[in-house]
Amino acid sequence: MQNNTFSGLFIGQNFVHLPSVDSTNNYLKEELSKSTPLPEGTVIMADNQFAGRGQVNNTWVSESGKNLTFSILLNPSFLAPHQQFKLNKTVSVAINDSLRSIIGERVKIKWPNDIFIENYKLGGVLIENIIQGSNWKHAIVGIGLNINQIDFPDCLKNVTSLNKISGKEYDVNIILRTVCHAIERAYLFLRTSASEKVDIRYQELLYRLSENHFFRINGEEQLGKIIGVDESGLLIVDFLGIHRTFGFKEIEYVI
Amino acid sequence: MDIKQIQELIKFVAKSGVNEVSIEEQDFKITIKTNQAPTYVNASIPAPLPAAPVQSQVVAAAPIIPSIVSSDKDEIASNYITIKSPMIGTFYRAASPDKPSLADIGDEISAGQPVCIIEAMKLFNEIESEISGRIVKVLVENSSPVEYDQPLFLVDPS
Repeated sequence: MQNNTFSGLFIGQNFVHLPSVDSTNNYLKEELSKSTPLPEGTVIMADNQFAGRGQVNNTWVSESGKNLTFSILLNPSFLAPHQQFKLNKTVSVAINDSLRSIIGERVKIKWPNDIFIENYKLGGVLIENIIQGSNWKHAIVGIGLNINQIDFPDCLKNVTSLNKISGKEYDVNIILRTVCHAIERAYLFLRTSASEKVDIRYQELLYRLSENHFFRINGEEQLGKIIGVDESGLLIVDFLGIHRTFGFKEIEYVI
Repeated sequence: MDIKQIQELIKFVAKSGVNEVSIEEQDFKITIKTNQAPTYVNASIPAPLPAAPVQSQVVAAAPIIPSIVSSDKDEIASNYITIKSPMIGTFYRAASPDKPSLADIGDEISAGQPVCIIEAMKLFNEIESEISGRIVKVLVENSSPVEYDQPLFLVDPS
């Protein structure tokens, strides 16, 4: 289904709306492998994503039509593959800032790219890249945001939605357009400038920045304070004056 | 310790038949290791180990040959090509644990075909081969860390 409700230059100009799919990222990857080239900015949205992947293969449990699950195709060949955390920062900051315009300043980025309100997860990002040699051919940016779902299974702790926070119903299409527009602007900015603005903003928006909290490392809980991230995206945590860096899965937040 | 003393020390160690000598003075540390061939002085850390700062001076007595290549002498001689890692991350041979390996030894691969996944900070990278050929060797264990430019696969392009 083609749709011209997107106001931007390229994101959403090719828009596919599916009633149901395993995962919008998988769908986009399969479309990419076909012979017809897909334009950059293609957006795949699904009312029901039945095998969406959250972290550690957690499935993203979503009531049909109540939440936003979509994927955006980007071709960031202007960046080297090892600079990919820059794209992660750009996307995370754009989502965060657009949600802040809707629900206020409590929205934060939980490193590396979850969307949190206080201690509750509102959404997440899953970026899958296709790389050949030093050429970053495609980035498939999958985004899941809980919008109108109120009831969540008991096994899912620390989960919330915009509606659960504010008590209001939202039009998922408007939020889709708002978020896509913000990502497009931020992405075009990234493409034309080597500015450190996004690094600063990402750091400002980090969940639990400069606060003392417990972290689980190799099964042991330790009190530390997040200082920021390094260029490759490793999390820097201060433990009583000693700075240590962590990759994803090497450290767990105690929430 | 000046360069002449170091050279003499290297000669001495080479003749002595020992494998490794470490000398530490106030602000100076040198480690000389001898393998049968090649002989080299090594104070750097091989890529796959977790990064830990080592305050020591590196003095190369002979070109340092990357460990992966030096253990495969037979294969250097031929015209095999390596597929290298474009980034730091974790190397996975399959797209997910329940799926088969993307590329196995003996497989014929073509340019543009995905051969592995490298995960970095929750970003998943499907690495496509730039060359066509047959996979001769997988140089990295599944689910282990890789460095930027680290060889991942040996490919016979003929």
